[in-house]
Amino acid sequence: MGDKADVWQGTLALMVLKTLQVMGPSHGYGIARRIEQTSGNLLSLNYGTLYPALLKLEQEGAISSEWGVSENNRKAKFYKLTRAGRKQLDREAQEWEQATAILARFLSPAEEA
Amino acid sequence: MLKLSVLWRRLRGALGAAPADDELAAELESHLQMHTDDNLRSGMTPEQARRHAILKLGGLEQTKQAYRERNTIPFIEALLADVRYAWRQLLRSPGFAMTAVLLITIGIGANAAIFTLVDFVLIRPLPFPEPERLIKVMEKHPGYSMMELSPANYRDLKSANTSFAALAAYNSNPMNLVGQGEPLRLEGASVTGNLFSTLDRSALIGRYFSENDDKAGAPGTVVLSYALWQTEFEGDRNVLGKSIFLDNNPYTVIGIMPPDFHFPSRETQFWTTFKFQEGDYQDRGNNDLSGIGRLKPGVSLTAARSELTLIAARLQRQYPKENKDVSVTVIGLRDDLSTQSKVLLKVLCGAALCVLVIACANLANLLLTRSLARQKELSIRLSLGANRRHILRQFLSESLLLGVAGGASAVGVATVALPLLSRLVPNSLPTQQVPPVDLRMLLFALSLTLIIIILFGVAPALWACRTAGFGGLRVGVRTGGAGHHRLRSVLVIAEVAASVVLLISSGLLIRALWKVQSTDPGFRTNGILTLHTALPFPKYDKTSTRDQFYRKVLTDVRRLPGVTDAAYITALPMTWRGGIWPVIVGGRDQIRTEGNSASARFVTPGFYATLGIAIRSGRDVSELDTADRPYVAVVSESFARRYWPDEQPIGRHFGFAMHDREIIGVVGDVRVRGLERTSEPQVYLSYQQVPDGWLTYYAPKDLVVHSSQAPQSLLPAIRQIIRTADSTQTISDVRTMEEIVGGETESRAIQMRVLIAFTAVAILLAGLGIYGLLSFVVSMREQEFGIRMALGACQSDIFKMVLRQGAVMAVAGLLPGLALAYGAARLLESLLAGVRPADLLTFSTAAALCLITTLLGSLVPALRAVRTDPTAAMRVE
Repeated sequence: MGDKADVWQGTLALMVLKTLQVMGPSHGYGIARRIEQTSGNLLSLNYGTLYPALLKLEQEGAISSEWGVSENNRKAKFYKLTRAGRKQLDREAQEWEQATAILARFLSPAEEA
Repeated sequence: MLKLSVLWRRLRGALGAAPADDELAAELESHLQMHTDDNLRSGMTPEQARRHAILKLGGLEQTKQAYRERNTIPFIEALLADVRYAWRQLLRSPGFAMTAVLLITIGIGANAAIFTLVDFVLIRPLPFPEPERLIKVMEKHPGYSMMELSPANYRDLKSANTSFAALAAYNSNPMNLVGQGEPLRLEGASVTGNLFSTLDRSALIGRYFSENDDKAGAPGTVVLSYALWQTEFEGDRNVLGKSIFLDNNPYTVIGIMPPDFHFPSRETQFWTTFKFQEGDYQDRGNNDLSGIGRLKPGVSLTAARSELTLIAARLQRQYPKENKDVSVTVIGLRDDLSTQSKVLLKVLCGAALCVLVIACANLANLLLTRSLARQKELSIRLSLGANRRHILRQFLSESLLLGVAGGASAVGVATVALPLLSRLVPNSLPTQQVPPVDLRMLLFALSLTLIIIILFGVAPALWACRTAGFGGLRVGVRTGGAGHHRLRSVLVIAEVAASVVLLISSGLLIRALWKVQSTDPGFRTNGILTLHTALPFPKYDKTSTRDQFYRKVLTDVRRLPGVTDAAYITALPMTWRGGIWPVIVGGRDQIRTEGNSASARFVTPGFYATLGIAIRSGRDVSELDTADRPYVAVVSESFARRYWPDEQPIGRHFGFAMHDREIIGVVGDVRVRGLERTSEPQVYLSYQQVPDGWLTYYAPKDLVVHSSQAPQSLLPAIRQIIRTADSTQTISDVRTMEEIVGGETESRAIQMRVLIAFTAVAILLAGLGIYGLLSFVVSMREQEFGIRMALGACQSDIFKMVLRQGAVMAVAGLLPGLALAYGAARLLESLLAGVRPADLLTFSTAAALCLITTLLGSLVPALRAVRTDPTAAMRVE
């Protein structure tokens, strides 16, 4: 476990939104697997923490849910982005890129200074 | 907005509106199945696959918990859990819960009802814009605290003052409405053209009067009350502009006032204008106007008073004869209530507070007992690590439940009780009759409830935590701690004291009521039917026309079976306090000096026989005392005594009501002004001896019939007789004489009933308080009693010991109670009708009642103590 990073506070929601944008409507398990795969198995994700995050996003109106049938014919609850969710994703992604860019400048070897 | 909707969803989750738990379980189950499927495909055994899936999820229950915290608001959920727990606790001791709720209901209910009544009558602004600027203006005469204005003085005050933005006048002017079905007697008011603008209330439909409507010679116009419009005109808007006939004169309806407009009194059904002519301003002694003014903004009542006093002084100099000693007084419209009705309400307020104190003391005792019984439970919980805040929250939840239940039922009780109290709202208050149940009452009840919840939730919790903390486990339930015991005794003693105050106050008021009721009114009250036939003018201007009507009605009524006698009079005793004239004896003009006036009433022959008033000497007026004969008068004993103390009054002459009169008879005094007021001497005049069109206001209106049958049974026949005499004549105010006299003490009687109810509750609660405390003490000392008995104490010793403890508390409460009651009685003195505040009978009866109650309360615990089985008692623990 030691070399795997924990999910930082607040980034999980962004990952969920991005995953839903890329994959389209999907169920909790699918989202969890996808996040792990995307991170190149570098993230250690307790799948259980996903559900409160999904609930929070749904309460905020960023995603909506309905029951459906999975690719393997299992009953599952499917989540999809709402319009508000798409906007939130754009905004947060931009903020995040900005933040990482700033941090990257700090951390990269000083050239001009 | 976003935040709010999230909060709302979470709140719904907390209150269980969203069925989240089952859905999450289903979702997680589907998650596990899918994960297990994948694991199986990668070659795990079924058990491994499932176990790995659960592990990866991070535990099923932990996930559910995290989810729940997100879905709800943990604080509220904890509170709800506390409340649910408290609810179960209370269900386990329903006796305690019901008693507590009942105590809160009694305490708050009594106070909410009385508060609403008092607020309505004494505090709440009257339903006019800026009501604090509305001021009544009255004349002040020697011997009278207030007197109506004469039109001339009204005009002078109005033109000379600078304090008022407007000054208006009005008086009562009932008239007969004919042409709308049955002829109807209506209560109405004559007003000056500026009255409505002074009050600053506009009409609901149409308009109110302008100054033009009030000019001499202007066509008749009338404004209707909402109630009259609804009942007599079915709320038809087309009535505007139509003519209606009042006392046979046409009036055009110009407006309808709103439903909550009542002025000058609740009974007023219509308004017409005075249309004063110059002649109306001649007589400065004709006091029949009430004045009401609106102060200019920024002018104080005191400033207005001193200005009007100055003007009155100037008028005295200007008209030294007519205005001799006449001053002017002002009073806020809000404060124009009789002292009696104010004191009545204040007494009820005090009584309700006493009930609250007693109920709370009982409640406190109840809760103390309960927390004592739970001491062991709390000690265990505290030592197992429950924190104090949690325990406090739990106590609060319980008192919250009890308080809300009690407060809600108290509002219910108050709402039901209010209409019963509405007779305590004085008729003169220009508002509706029944105080409304509104936000003010709810807020009052709510704040009382909150105080009780916090006081009785926090205090026992703190107390329980403190005692339970220090080795509460070691201490048995039996030793309650001395401090605790003392507190409970003090509470019971306070209950006894408060109930003694109530007992004595209501005892004194009962005595006062009896005393007033046993006052001899001076006439017979049983078997007498009275009704009002107000003859309209100018139709009945001629005295002879009226006489025909009276004679016809009286002759026919006297023929009815069972009727022993019947007569007509201007106004019956206790129905009209006006009609007071100065008496001129020996040519000296004794205008308005105190005591030199008498009430004038015109009567038909037979009035004294009908009402059982004794004729002391001389004779009754007779049919022969006609207009062309010398004007005669029958006077009351007090009249004769005043002017001819040692001489024979018969045959004497005096000037009265614009004519010289010769005394032909002396009769017993009656209480014209009511049972509790002193009345002027009475002068009765022959109904025939008045010039046409004079003093028409004094034309006899009240028919009195004495019969051996139940008075009401005569009514249909009498109605028929009056209809035959004049088919358009109205009949109103049908009452028995008993009802008229009973009306004098009605508000007292109602107040007393409320007070008796409060007192009964109080004394019962005090008795129960003593009973509860002693039972507890006895159960605590059971072991001690057992030992004493084993060592040879006899049963009577134990019995006396318990009784003594009850008696000590009773006496400890009784003594301060008696002192407080004396103080209260002094405050009540104006209501006591002459009963002394330190009335021995009342005080001793109350003390005895209090002791008997406490004795009864102590008896059961004492008997239980006596029955203690020594061996069983010592074996406990």
